Amino acid sequence: MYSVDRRDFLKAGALAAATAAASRVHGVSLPIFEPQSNGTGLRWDKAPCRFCGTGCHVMVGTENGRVVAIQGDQKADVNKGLLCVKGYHVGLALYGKDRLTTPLLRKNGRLVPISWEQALAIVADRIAADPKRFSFYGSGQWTIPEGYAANKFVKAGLGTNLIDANPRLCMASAVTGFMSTFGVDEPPGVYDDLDTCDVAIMWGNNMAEMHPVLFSRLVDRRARGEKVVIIDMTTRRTRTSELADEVLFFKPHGDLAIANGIAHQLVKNGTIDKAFVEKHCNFRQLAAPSADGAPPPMLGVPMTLDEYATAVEPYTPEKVEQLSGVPADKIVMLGDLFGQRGLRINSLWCMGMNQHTRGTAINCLVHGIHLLSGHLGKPGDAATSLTGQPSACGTAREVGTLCHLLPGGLSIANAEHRAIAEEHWNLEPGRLSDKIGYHAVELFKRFSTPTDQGGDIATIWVQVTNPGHTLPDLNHYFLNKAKLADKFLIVSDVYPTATTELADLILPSAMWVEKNGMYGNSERRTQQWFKMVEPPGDARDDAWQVIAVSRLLHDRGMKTMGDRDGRWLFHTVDAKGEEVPIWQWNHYYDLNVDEHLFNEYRAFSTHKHKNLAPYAQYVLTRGMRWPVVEQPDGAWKETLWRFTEGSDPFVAAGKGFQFYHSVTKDDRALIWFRPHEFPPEMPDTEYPFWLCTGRVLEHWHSGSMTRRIPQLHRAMPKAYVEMHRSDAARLGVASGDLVTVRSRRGEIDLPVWIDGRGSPQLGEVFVPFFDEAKLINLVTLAEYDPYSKQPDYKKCAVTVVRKA
Amino acid sequence: MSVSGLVIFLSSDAQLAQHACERLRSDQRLIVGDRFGPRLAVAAETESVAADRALVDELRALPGVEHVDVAFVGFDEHSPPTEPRAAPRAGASNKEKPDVLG
Repeated sequence: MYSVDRRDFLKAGALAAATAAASRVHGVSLPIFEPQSNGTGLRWDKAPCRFCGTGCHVMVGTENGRVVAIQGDQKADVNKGLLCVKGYHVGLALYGKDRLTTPLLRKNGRLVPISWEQALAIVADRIAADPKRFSFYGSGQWTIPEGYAANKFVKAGLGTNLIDANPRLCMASAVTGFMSTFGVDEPPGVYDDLDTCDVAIMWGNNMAEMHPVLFSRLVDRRARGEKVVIIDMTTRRTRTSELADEVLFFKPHGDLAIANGIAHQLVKNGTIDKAFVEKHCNFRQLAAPSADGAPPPMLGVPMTLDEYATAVEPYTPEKVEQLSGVPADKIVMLGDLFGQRGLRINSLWCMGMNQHTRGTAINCLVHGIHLLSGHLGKPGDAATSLTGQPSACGTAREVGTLCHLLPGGLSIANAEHRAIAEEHWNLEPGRLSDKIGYHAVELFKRFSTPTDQGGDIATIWVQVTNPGHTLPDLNHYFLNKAKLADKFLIVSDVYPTATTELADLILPSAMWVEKNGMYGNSERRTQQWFKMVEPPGDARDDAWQVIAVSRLLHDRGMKTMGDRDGRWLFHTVDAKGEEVPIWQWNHYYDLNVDEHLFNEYRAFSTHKHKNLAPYAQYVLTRGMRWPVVEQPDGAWKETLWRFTEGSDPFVAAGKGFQFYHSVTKDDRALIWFRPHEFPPEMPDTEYPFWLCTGRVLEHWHSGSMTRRIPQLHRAMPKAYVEMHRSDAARLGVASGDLVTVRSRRGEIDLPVWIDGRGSPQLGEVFVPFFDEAKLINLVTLAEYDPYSKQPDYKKCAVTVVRKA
Repeated sequence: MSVSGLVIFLSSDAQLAQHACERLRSDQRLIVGDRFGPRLAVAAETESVAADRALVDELRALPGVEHVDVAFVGFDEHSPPTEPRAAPRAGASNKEKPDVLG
């Protein structure tokens, strides 16, 4: 029982938290437990939050082998002691009653417990039987060392590139946008831009719910009397809209027209930043489509400023209003804002621009208007993509756990890059395959297709993600697997999920502070934490699982699990130079395997100027933003604004700006013209509504963790469909009534919510995707961007029918 | 014992909102804090998580209350375990799947 003092403390803390949330003004850390002063043994350690890509740091209180308290970390630059409702509850994510605690093998349709030795042997058997038909599938929830181990296992150990990850569904279009514009991935700016911008523009981004701690930085500035204008460009009214100065509703794909409309205004008004553009930019467009219908090469062909001006000329305010639904005078207003050199403008986006069949195009266009107007590379002037997963940047993008990448931003398609990787990994020349693997949608299509019909993926090992919930068009891209006896699904996870329902083998994993870890957040910040508590039962680290299978294959004689000298790929020695048998679980923590893997990976980071510090530096800090470069005095210094002289150590003196990975090899960024195009599926008489899907504040991703936290589950227990009041009236439904949402691909029953958390426009419905019992991805569309291969979860055509 | 911090979203109907505020202030389980437009900060103390859940359901159903958000929860080793979920099953279609957490 609580003591009276303790109860009073908790009540005061509860009221303070509620007040902070209600006021939307956060100013204090709100600990759930305070450090005890009576020697009860409570211990506090730092860790990044387990959930989104913001990268908030929490202080984790442990006692008697359990996490018992969480508080915002006052020393963390990212969140300055604040947390969102998910962050306050992150410790409870470990303690769902149904944690997976032993390996399970499906026999005759039933899952039966087996030993780890049996489980590892089964995995090794499947891989050894046909390594070229085996694939890994992970996510931005992999820690950096875990992702590195899996990547090396596949690319060096199996000689294929059959590994991809959930970020393909999440931020791949941001990657292709950065690559197309700057020739290198990840944002030039940092979160500090939120503290100095005059205007924050949300491009289809509900930041108040999805990245609430970052949004609070804007709101806090207002509360302190600073003027910061928030413009919410959105397809539905959200919590972000409530706090915006301007809410501009646009039609699906209208963002392409809006960006071109802003560019047109800059050209027409003569407010282009000519000095910046002439010195630092080139113009680009796609080549004409080829006769076979294949998309033209991503990096395009040159165009002149005059040709660019001609290309954007049709995007008059009136035309843009017609295409986007945003009033012409608001397009003029946006053009005027970008034309003001004295303003500092921060564009922010997440899934709205990325989950888009023209995701690469809209990413390029937004970078383009920032370059065209010179609003880039200075504090407050930034184009900032936010990520959804805690290490989408750190692991998937930087470690390169995607089918076309090598660690450190190196490319599979580049022979020199492959040679660099072979050298780092001590492989014989030519070991690494030049054949790009399958991206996520293609991978699961081939897994869910009968072998004799081209389904050439036989085994997938899924770690730290839930594709049975998050892939689009699940009937075709996942559930078909149930009918295919020769396909084998291995899933390492912490809880049963929609994916484990079809798993043939389930491996119980340790999570978050049950293991050492490192993440990389949305602003290039690499973060580290130490294991604090033991995992339950027989759950074990994901990296250990990979290492143990690698060792087993090596011991069985698979030569490619060794380097060119025959030494095992994960050979690890202690301070005395003696090998530590890290493939044995009881020896895995004899040393810090994370440190060994990270320091090996770190050697890749210099090739694309993503320099990382040694592991020990991250132990001392709440993360550091790369490139991190050693100073003459031996200190390690992070970088805030990339490509900017005085901030980025790789910009030569006197350059001002230097885009040193330029596509055109001349230190210039590219301003792209990409036209407005309509989505591949649009409402018609049979399917008259747009469907948009997304997240809610209380739940993270597929809800497999947050739905096991009673407080979050209670706050948002079930999925629903938001409808416009007039649409609901026409269908004769009210809030709480059950309807069927149906597309050409599938259907699902949901309760209606009118004027609830969000309010869609007329003719649009919104469904959150967190609810495993109501899988909206049975309905969504698998069409994807031709360059990023990222599907569009934000728009497809559905009908809504009242249930009898 | 369960202690929660809640944000109560009040109706835009001033009379209903006022009525709800009065009801909340008279509830011994609640400490009512400041109001910020439609949002009202509240701390709740109940005997158990089950009672806490019932209280939130009760608040949600109260005339003049539009929505209840959870902002804070006290927990420690005395907290009851989270709710069970069905064991993984093979071949179940989504329509057959129970709302295992609901």
